Amino acid sequence: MKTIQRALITLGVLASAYAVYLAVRSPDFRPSRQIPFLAVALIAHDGLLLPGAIVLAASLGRFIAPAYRGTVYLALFASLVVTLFALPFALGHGRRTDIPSALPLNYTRGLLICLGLVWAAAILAVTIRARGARRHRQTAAAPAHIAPAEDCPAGPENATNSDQAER
Amino acid sequence: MVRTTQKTSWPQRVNEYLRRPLVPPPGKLRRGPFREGAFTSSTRSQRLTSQLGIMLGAAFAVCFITGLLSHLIQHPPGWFWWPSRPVWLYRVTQGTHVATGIALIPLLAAKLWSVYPKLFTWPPARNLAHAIERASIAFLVASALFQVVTGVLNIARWYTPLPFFFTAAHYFTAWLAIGALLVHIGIQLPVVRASLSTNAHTPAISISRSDTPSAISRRGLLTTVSATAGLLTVATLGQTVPWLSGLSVLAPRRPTLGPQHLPVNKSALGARVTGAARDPAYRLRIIGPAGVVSLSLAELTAMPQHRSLLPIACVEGWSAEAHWSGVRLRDLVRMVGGDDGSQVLAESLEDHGRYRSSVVAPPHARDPLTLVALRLAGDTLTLDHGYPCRLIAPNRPGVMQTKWLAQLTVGRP
Repeated sequence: MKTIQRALITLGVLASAYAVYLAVRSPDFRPSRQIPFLAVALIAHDGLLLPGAIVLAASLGRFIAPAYRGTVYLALFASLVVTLFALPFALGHGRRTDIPSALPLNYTRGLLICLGLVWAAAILAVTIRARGARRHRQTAAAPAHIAPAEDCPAGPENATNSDQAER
Repeated sequence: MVRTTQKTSWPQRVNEYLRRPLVPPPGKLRRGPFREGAFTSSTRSQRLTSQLGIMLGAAFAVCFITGLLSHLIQHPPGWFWWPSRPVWLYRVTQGTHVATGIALIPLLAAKLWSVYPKLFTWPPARNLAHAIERASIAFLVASALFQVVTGVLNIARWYTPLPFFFTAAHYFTAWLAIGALLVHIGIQLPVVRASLSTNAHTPAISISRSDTPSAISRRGLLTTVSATAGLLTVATLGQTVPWLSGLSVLAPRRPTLGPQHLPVNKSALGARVTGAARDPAYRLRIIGPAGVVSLSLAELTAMPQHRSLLPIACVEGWSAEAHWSGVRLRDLVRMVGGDDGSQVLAESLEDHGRYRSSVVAPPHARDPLTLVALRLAGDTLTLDHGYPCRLIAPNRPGVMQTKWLAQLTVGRP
C-alpha cells in the first residue's frame, strides 16, 4: 500500500510539474489571466455557489413537510446543476449570424423541458412513497381476522395453547 | 554503559520537520462554518465521498486520455502515429471526451458538497505536511472547476469570459488536474479502502458532526447524481449520435442542420475568403519533388472522381457523416512525384489563423478515402463548406480538414 501511495504521489507531482513546464514554454500562456481565473472559479464555487445553495435549501426546508424534504432537496440539486450547464446556451452569446448551424436550438425551452422532467420525477417519487406509506398504515391498523362462529365454535376443546397460557 | 545515538536519515528529518505542529490560530476565530457541528447533514460520510470520488476519478481519467489523444493528433510529436482507419475512431474518442465531461458535472457538484465541511477544518493546518496537502486539494478543486467551466463555455462557443486561448489553457490545466488527482488518491488511498471495505451494517464514519438523521439518504443522492448525469447526457449526446438528436434539447448541434445538411464551424465570411474562393482565376497549387502543378476547378472536376462516406468530427464533440466526392489526394501526390510515404501540407486561402493549414500524415495521405472534395451530398460544395475545394480525410479532427484549399505541398515527414 505504501509503495502504491508513494508511486501515485510521485506521478502526480511529476504531472503537475509537467503542466507548469508546458505552460511557461507556451506562447499562449497568460499567467495574469489564467491564474486569476483558476482562483475565481474556486472562490466563486466554495465562497458563493455552494454556501448559497446550502442556505437556500435550508431556508426552503422549513416550508416543506419532513417526509418530502429529501426529495425536494435532491430535485433542487438536479435543477441547479442542469440550469448552470444550460445557462451559457440559453443566453446565446455564442451564436453568430454567419453560422446559424451553431447553437441552432431554443435552449431556454430545452432547459425548461429538462427541469420539467426533474420535477416530474420528484413528484412521482413522492407519490409512490406516499402510497407506500398509506398502504403500510392501513396494514398496521387493520384488525386481526375473526373466524365466523359456525367455523370455530367457542369451547374448551377449541382453546389454543396461547389461550390456555393466558388463563 | 555505552550510549549510542542513532543518526536520523534526511528523509526522516524532513518528515519530522513537516509534521512539527504549527501554532493553532486563537480559538475565538473559530466561528461560523468553523464551529464544531456547523454542518448537520449526516448523509455526508467517508463512504459517500469515496464512492463519488471513484466515479469522478474514472470520469476524469477518461476525459484526460481522450483529450490527450486529441491534442497529440493535432500536435503530433515525432514518436506519435495515428491511423486513418477506422474512419469513425476520432468521432468516438472526441464524442466520449465531451459527453464524459458533461456527465461528470453532477458528480463533481455532489463530491464538492460532500467534502465541503473539510474546507473549515480546525485548525486549518496542523503542520506543514497538512498545509501542503490542503494546498494540493485547492489545486485539484480549482483545476477541476476550470476544466468543467472552460469546457462548457467552449462548446457553447462563448469566449468572452475566457481571456486566454481556450485550447492551450484547457490542455495545461488537464495535466495540473490529473497531477493533483493522483496526489490526492495517493494520500487518501487508505481512507478510501477502509471506508469501502466497511461492513454494510457498520455505521459510516460521518464527516459532519451530527446525530440528526438527514433528509437525504446516501442511496437517494447517488441515484439523483446518476440520473442527472443521464439526463445531461441524453440532452446533449444527439450532437453526435444521430438517433438521439430528437431528444437532445440542449445539444450544441443537430447533425443534419446546416448548409447541405451538415453543420459548419467556420464560415467563409468569418475566414474572409469569400472573394478569393469565388475568383474565376482560382488555382489549386500542388508542389512536389517533381515540380509544381496548378489546377483550375474545371481541371480538378475533369480528373477521375471518387466518393467517400466520411464524418466531420469536431473537437467540440459534435460529428456528422456525409457523402463527399472529389479527387483522391494520393492521385494529386503522385502527379507531383510523391509516393505512399509522402506527407502533405494543406494550406487554405485564409491569410492567417491557427488552423489555416494542416499536415496530412502518410497513412491519411495515401488512404483512398482521402479526397480533395469538390462536392457534398451530390451538390457542389457551398462556400461555408469550403468551396472551391476542401480536404476530407478519415479519422481526423474537423479542425484539420482544411477548407478553401489554396496549396498542397508534398514532401517527406
